[in-house]
Amino acid sequence: MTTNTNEIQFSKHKKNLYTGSILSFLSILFSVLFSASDATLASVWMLSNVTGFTLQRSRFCFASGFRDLFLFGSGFTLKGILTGLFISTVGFSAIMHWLVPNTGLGMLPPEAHIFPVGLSTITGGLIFGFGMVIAGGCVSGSLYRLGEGYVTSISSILGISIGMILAMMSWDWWNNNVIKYEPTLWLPQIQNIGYSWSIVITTITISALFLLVNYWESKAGIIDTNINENQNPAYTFPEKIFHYFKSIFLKSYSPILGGSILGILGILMFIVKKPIGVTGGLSHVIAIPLTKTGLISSETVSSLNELGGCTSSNESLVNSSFMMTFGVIFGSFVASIISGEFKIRTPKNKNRYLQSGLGGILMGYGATLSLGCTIGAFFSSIPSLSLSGWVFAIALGIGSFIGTKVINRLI
Amino acid sequence: MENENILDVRGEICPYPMLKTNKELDAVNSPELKVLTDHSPALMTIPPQAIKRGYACEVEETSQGEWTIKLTKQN
Repeated sequence: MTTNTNEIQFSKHKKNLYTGSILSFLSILFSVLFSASDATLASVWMLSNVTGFTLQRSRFCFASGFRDLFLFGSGFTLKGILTGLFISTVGFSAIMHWLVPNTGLGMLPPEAHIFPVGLSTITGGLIFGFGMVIAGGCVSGSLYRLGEGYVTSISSILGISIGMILAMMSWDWWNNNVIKYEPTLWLPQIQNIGYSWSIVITTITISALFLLVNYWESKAGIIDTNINENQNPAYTFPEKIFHYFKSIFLKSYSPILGGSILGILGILMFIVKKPIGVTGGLSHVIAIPLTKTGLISSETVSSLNELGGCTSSNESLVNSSFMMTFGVIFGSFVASIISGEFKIRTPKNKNRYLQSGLGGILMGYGATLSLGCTIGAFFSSIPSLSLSGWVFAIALGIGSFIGTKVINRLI
Repeated sequence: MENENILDVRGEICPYPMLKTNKELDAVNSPELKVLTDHSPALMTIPPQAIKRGYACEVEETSQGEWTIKLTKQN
């Protein structure tokens, strides 16, 4: 009996599996082609594919992490984010310790996401947090949902691009009047506390937040449930293989598992090239025609580059930021094809296109100001032991709280 | 069975599938509600909300990227 049901289930997924295999083969083929010119690019491409795959499988949405706390009293996703932050903090610290053994010399570890902290971080976080709730997903969310077939993601990505253009055009003003005066604060250098105390403070804060989220949920009456499908016991070899195939490719991952994988991927990405960020690829693509046409000066772009790990550079079109952004879309596409979840989704309420676009504009502007999105300026920044990550996170929370008040009216 | 309650939230963006389900459950005290959705995160977020309101949930994949969540009032 059990073999039968497994076989039936398997044949249902056969077509998706074949298409998925071809796509995975393409991904590896791209990687081989990239490695001919730059081995790092090839690794970044593969890691970004796995990142997109994980985001899709765990339905990981940074926007919902913040928003659902206020909207439903649920910290389901936020607990996954905190788990990822904890893991990344340990790994990032090891890498940074290797790059800069002595924190007393005033040097910052190269490529770590340690940004100036101040009004620009707060303004960027507020705008971004509000925008991601309005758009129904942050930048990474829009990218992986595009891979799953959400048409509204196109308008939110267009919006993000417009927001970035507006922010780049006003960058010189922000830089000369605000950002220039902001300090870049790296925890190990504050009062010279060094790595050990910075790690202790960061991990204890993350753990305390984890407890606080659970307390919040218990107050809101949110139940932690496991809706278990009836598992067929796996006896034979094919059954065992199908069981693992199902766990990896067909069943969704819990946010805790998703967050853990993303935390590890972040560490690997830092070892290979730099911490993960997905807005950089977009702003890189946008900055090229803007500088070519003279809409923004190349000085503006290079001043953005000097500060942010997440923004563009003067390299060729296909650089590591480009790989990260587009690798995530491709990885999510493959995941949704294999699991049979790919579907072109169009909203019946056409105003949703406008809503995603407007939310996108706010996200694009905010991400440029704070030099990154929920990934670059938050998920890669707190593990970099940067104070800016925490300030950005608080602003994101406040911004999304205001956002929930608005979306309730747009039902 | 003829007048079963169906809430079709296919195509909706996040978080409207969950918001609309909650609203429907709070407004109409129906013994049964079927939610049609193509938004996979809803599979994780609707059940805890429905359980909180005293409903049992059953998730069924109806076609490529589409699910039906059957909510039944528990007494």
